[in-house]
Amino acid sequence: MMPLVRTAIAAGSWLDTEGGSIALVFVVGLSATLIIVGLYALGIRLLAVGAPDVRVPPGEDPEGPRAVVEHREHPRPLAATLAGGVCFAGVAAAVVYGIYLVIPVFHGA
Amino acid sequence: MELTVLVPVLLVVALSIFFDFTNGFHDTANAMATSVATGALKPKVAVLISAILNLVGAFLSTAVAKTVSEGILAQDDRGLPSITVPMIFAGLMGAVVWNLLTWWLGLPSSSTHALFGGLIGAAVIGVGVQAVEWGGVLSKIVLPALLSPFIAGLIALAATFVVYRVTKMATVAGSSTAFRHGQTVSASLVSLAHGTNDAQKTMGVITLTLIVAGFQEAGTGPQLWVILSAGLAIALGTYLGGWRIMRTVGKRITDVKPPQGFAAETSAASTILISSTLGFPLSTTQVTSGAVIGSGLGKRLASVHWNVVTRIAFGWVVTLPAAALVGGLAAWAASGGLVGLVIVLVLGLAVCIGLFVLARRKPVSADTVNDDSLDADHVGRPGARQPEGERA
Repeated sequence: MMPLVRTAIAAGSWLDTEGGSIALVFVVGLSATLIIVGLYALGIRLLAVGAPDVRVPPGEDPEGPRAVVEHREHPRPLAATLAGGVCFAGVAAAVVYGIYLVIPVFHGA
Repeated sequence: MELTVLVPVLLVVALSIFFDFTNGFHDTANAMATSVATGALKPKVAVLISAILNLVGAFLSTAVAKTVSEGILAQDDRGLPSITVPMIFAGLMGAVVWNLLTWWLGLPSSSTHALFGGLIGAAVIGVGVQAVEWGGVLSKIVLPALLSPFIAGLIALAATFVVYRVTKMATVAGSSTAFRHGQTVSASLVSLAHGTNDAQKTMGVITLTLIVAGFQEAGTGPQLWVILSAGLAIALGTYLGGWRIMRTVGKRITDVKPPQGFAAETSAASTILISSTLGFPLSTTQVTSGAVIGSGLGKRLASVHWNVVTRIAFGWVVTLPAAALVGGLAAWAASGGLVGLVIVLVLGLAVCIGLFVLARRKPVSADTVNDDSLDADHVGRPGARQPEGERA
């Protein structure tokens, strides 16, 4: 897919090429980041099923002096554990792919 | 071997390695500032991890080193830029002086811009305007620099919003701890990516010098001792830590909390990796600072200290021309043969020592990097921090 996109943009002047690359970096970067942080936050939330939220006055730091942390009310259901695990596995895959991108030997650059 | 050839080459090698050292302690902040600010990593542990990953990164690839000045300095038919060894020395001096000045001011400016600024200035004074490929400067340096903070900032803003939304303002049990772990991983990726890029640029300059002076074949990559010394210099600089800049990025732009740190570092890591993969590499410094600003905006509009951001932005804009000016002046002085070189060397060293002495008057160390009581800025003026209540 990538070469196609590049060719289409390269048809214009150099400014079009740059503009296209920038838009592409932004779109791909935004989507990848939102997927990764979304999965991670969802994983946290799934693993917290059964544990009450930290109680804190609105707008205050959940680690601040006025935060109240309570003990788990009931054990986490297996489904939540599994789903949370899937979320974190997705994030781990993204990290591995990131390392792959950093190390040129892996992709012959 | 003539002394007039050998001495400038040795000076360039020494100064390059020193530049790499300043690059290390200047840019540590990029990757690790938010991790230190949120307590995800202890300051000394953070710089150790970053140092090791920068060293590893230096060995992973030498692709950048081969093409360091490509598209920026005009090349002759051998593929070499038309600058001499004393001019490279002058350009490096400009880069080192500017890097130390911005470090003293606690400004996260780009070491790459300082390096290219110095070389451009030296080339313009030493050879002429035609020695520089201005189109390349615009598309490879100026444009990415202008856009990096906005791209990273917008991505981090959206990421921060999502993170807070999904974890109900981080009140979901265990969120803060989990975000600290996540942040450590993404910050480490940023460090590794930094190592594969920045150490390369110094290797590129040393290799360029060896080729220009006739000690190495044109078109060959950096030698092992060059890779080793550049990697060690950047790692040592990183370990000694740029606490001054770290405090600016981690505490003074906005007081980074774990969810923001996670969002900012993840945005920075993915923006850096994706931009280099798509062939439009963005500056690590500007991406990270932009992401931190975005993470401040994503939480609550009022929590970004715009006076600090303005000062950082000013530093970004002037880095290239300022380093070019110093590099140009140094090139003019160094054109007078060995005596000129020695004058540049002595003056440059005097400025560096002066800045180190000034920095010691108001030191920022591993122990005080997160200290709120150090509210005055690095020049000693009282800080303009907003009171805590206005930000929540």
